[in-house]
Amino acid sequence: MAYSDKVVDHYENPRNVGSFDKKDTDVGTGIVGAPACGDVMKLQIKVEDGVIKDAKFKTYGCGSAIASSSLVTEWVKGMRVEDAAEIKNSQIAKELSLPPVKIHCSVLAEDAIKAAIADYQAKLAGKSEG
Amino acid sequence: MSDLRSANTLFQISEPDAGNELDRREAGRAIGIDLGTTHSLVAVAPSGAEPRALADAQGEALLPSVVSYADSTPLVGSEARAQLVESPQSVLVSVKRFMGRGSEDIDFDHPYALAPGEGQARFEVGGREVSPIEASAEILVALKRRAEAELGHEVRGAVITVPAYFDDAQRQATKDAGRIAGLEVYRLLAEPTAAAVAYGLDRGGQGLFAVYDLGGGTFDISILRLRDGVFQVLATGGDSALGGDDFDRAVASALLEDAGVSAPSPSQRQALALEARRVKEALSEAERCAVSVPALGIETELSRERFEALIAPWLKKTIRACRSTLKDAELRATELDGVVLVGGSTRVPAVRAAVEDFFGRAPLTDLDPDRVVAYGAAITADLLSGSKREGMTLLDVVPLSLGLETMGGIVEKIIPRNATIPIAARQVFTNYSEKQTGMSIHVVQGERELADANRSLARFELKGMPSLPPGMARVEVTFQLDADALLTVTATELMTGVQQRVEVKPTYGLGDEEVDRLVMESLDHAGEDFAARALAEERVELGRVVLAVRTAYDEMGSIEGLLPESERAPLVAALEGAEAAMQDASIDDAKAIKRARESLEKSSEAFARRRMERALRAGMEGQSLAEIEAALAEEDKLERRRGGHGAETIESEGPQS
Amino acid sequence: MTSSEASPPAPLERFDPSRNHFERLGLAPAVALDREALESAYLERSRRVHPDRFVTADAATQRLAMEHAAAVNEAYQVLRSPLRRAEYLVKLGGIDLDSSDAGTGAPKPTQAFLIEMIERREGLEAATEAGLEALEDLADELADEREAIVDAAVKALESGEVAKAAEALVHARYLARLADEIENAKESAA
Repeated sequence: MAYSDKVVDHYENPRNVGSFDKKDTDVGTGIVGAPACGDVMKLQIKVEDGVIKDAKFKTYGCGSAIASSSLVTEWVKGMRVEDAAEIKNSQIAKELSLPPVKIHCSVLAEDAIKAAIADYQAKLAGKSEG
Repeated sequence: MSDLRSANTLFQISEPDAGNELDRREAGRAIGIDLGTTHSLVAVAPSGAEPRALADAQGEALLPSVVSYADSTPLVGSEARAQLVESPQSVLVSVKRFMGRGSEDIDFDHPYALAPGEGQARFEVGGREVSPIEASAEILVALKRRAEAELGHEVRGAVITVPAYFDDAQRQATKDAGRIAGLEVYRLLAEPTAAAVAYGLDRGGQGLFAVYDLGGGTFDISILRLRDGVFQVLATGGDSALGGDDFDRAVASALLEDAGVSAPSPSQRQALALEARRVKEALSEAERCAVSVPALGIETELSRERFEALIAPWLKKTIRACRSTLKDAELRATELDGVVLVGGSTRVPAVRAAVEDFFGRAPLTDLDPDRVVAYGAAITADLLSGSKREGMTLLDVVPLSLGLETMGGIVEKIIPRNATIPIAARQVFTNYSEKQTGMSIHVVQGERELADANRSLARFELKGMPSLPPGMARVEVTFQLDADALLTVTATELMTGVQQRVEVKPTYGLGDEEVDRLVMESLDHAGEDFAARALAEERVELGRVVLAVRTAYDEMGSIEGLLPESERAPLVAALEGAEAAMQDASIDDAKAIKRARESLEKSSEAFARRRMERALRAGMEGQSLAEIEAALAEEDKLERRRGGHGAETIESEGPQS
Repeated sequence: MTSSEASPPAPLERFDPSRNHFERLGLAPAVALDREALESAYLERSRRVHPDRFVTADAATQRLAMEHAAAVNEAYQVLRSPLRRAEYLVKLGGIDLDSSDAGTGAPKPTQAFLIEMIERREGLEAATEAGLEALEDLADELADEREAIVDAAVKALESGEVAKAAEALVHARYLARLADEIENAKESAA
């Protein structure tokens, strides 16, 4: 199977591995899991003026799950929050040429970014209310 | 959703069986072959008899697994071994270690030049390329001939043993060797399982047993349960590249180091290897042994203590495998009812001591460890020939997990190791875009997480996926392991029934065409003897057919409606042609005889069918039973010749709509 | 050596793919399966359907025997393991742990559980630094925990609480993954 160098690189050298302090008000954290295989993924975004300035992840699972989260963190940097919420798992799967048996890894990454955004927006709402 | 499952099976690709001409089981006439790294042997147990090993004219049962290509005609056995020191590069020893292996996997020392190229590694010997499969076929042919000479009848069916830890590629290579040797391989039987069969039947055994099998080049450990006539392998483990040969090499390199020699010539190396083996064997009896390799100026002595220290790392490896295999079987050593030792290398006292120490009991050794595997093979061969033998059932396992390569080279397991065979796994594949029309699937075998670290078994393309929204196409691929642990792949389209194409390309092995060519070549080139045999066999076959057709024609050719005029002339021409071929002693080409027979069969086919129909009608009216039988036998023979093609492609036209 | 008239094998019934694993072995579905009954049923059926019994039969019969034997082997492998048997009973109860379908698939664990999983991974990283002994402690602890979870799932199934059993078994899958990672860490540390 021939993969593009870029894709293989996401496997071999995943970007943005790490954590932010989840208590920071400008940080949104999404933690999701794939019950069928036991993979867990934590994805965090750091937002400034509605734009995602930085993103980090920690994924415990197979290579496809790691690559999917690595790719998403790369993509969302510099995106507006509402644009990032539009990312679809099919885009991730296509970019990484994921085989069908690994499509659920891209679903996990989509769920993770959505959960992170939801967490950030909940914090924002709480701040403006309080 | 079960209605979707009724969709058509589109293509079926299977590993080919033995040639169709061999597809006939003669009860009680099959042989059991232990195709070993250093020695091979053949045994029989016809129609429920006790197994016995067959010896050569000198009374020797063990045939050295050595093939010499130093002369134009290959030599096998001790004659080949005699040429070892003189032409080490043209004499192949331990070819079993190369079976089903690409040159990139061969990470052990050997004196041979390997031909460049991918797939199955090949030796360059005597100015030509020889695969280990062909060399193994030479050994099998020698054993087959020995059996035929001893038994006085032709031998076609065989059970060949393989290390339990052999993967699909190694098993397929062994089966191909059998086919090239003109054998129909009824079963590839795991060596420890064969030993258990020999022991179990001997003792009417019930209980849990471990079989520790250390041969010349391979190591297996199997845990079996014997109960109610079933031999159930619970777990198996081992190393298909560890054996007594490693002990020899350890001794040889220690001697070299002592002598301060760094780069011995091939023939010095060979002389040293032979001496190392002798020393190892001598130290099984004696505490000390004199060592002499004049070619290298070595005159010294080796103690058993030093020898045991040299082989300790290998013993440790075998015990580690025993531990993890027991764990796989979910058993403790104390729960076992017995431990069986198999393989010539278990004669080494240190091996016995290590086994006894680990399992906490003295191992069983009452059957000759060199022969017990062949005995079990012979018993199984007899059973599978359809012989009247007390039924037993063998439930063996696949030694290594089967998986698919997924993104990033990660393996997803679909059949776990130690799954009882036969077993099938299904995997539904779908599309991730509307434009996607196919996908490539890579099947691997092994326990590692990365595909590259496992054995590559096959790659194939799933083509012609219907253009459907992402996730809507559903292609179910079934991976089936048969009782030989060989893989078959079937693809079924669940949604649309649109025609699929699956091509399984084995990564190793020879491919069907090459095996077919070798089967033919072995008839052509394996010496006058072989060609003469083939010719004689074809003549016998032709004789049978001519007799049957001539008798039928003379007796029934003029009966109304059995032979229309349009068929009469071609039939008579073919019959006369075949009779002429039989009379003509100058025809020395087996293929010409075969063509005459085939032509006769073809032109008498319809005649035979009508005769059978008539005989059946007659039978129903209570008439000649002999006539029915004769007609049925004739028809049956034709049927066998026509059918039996192993690789079949089932095409479907898709649903009627 | 015993030699007798081999009785011809009993003819094979049609293969019915809709049968479940319990039916395949002629057993009543049960969480606490009698091990002895399972073993005898498996051996009895294996003797009957194994392809070796049909070596002289026609190709269609041989294929049928292969189909039966493969299904019997699969049933045995699922039912003999308490964990896999519990997962299978949950599946028969309408929840497929291998599916991510919101209605009939594996239930999603709580956020708190997922956070715990992440934190325990971080704990594993620390233990890996600390060395083999710390890893072995972690592995032992986890083994006990997994056993307890399977017991809980079995209890839930016995009282007919499929959803509760499914929840426990999903936790067990996450813990199995963690156990694999600990094993890998142990292997690299050794």
